Amino acid sequence: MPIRKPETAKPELRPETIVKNELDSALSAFRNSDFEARLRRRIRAESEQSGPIRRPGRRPVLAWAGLILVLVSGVSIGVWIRSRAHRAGTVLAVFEAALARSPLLRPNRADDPAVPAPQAASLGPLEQTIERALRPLYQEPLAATPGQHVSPAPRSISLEELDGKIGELIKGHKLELFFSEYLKKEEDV
Amino acid sequence: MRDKIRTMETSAGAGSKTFEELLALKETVFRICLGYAKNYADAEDLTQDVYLKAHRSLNGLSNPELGREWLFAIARNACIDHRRKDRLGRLLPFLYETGRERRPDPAPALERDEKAQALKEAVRSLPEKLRAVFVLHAYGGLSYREIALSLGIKEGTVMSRLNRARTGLERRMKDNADKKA
Repeated sequence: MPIRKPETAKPELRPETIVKNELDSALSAFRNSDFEARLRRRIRAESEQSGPIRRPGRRPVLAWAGLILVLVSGVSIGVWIRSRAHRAGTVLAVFEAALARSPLLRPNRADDPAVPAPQAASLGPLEQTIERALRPLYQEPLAATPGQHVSPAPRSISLEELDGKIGELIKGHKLELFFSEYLKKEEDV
Repeated sequence: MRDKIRTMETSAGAGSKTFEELLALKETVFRICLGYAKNYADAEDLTQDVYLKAHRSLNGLSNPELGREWLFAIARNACIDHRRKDRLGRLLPFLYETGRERRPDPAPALERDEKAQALKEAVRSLPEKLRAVFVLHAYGGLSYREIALSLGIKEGTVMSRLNRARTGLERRMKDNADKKA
């Protein structure tokens, strides 16, 4: 039975052969360069250099310190933005729910079960304030317990009045930034 | 000018003779740097850095008989540092602005040689243990004993690592060629 020889690369593809070809041209260029003269100039310049010699290890330390600083501040800013966005999202959700439940503004969706009433217990202090302030607009208690349901008694309200009320609320809680886009969208609609 | 430099070197200690001896190994150091570097210009710059480092710390050389191995170890460390900085420099370029003048590459034919480039990529993708042995042997032309002394390992380990490096390189080059084809 013939012995099968192990598969090897072609001679011209062997790493050592390629290295040899590369070295031949690189070494001839190196021999013709002014390497030694430049090296001696650099050594002389370094010897003549006045003042403290910069330690070579300082730059990487600075790099690492900078990198850590950037990472820490980046994470902090990210957490802050996330918390603000979360808060803004909650407040917007309360506004949406309150407006959706208003029979004056959205008569067709007044009893829409798909629009859940926000539960007072799940709201933060700011959201509760907004909800309380908006309640008179649609005259319906929020999250009324079973048996205590108060029938809606919609009163006539002008859009200007509603606008002013929401404006006061936003101003009072310094939420202009969060709601400017929201109000703009409402106007467009 | 040469005399002036000599005088400075003598004032730095008894290392000037040793430094001149080490300078005679510049081609070997350049060859090692070429094995690690991406191109000719980087290899030449690295060789300069190696000799500057060696000159600065010549007093730390306790056994002048091991000067060769000491120099090769500096070369290897400088190359590894350079590669690390190169990677970090791509991420944060402002931290590693060296202000070093860019000279025209005197060996542009190397960059055009596809096989040489493929080998360079393969060498750079090898694990450091295998890469060091291969570069010192194939590029630097060092004997097994010199590599063992330089890396602080046994000669048998050098041989086995060299074999693994060769096999790995051939496989990587073949894979890359297949991918391109």
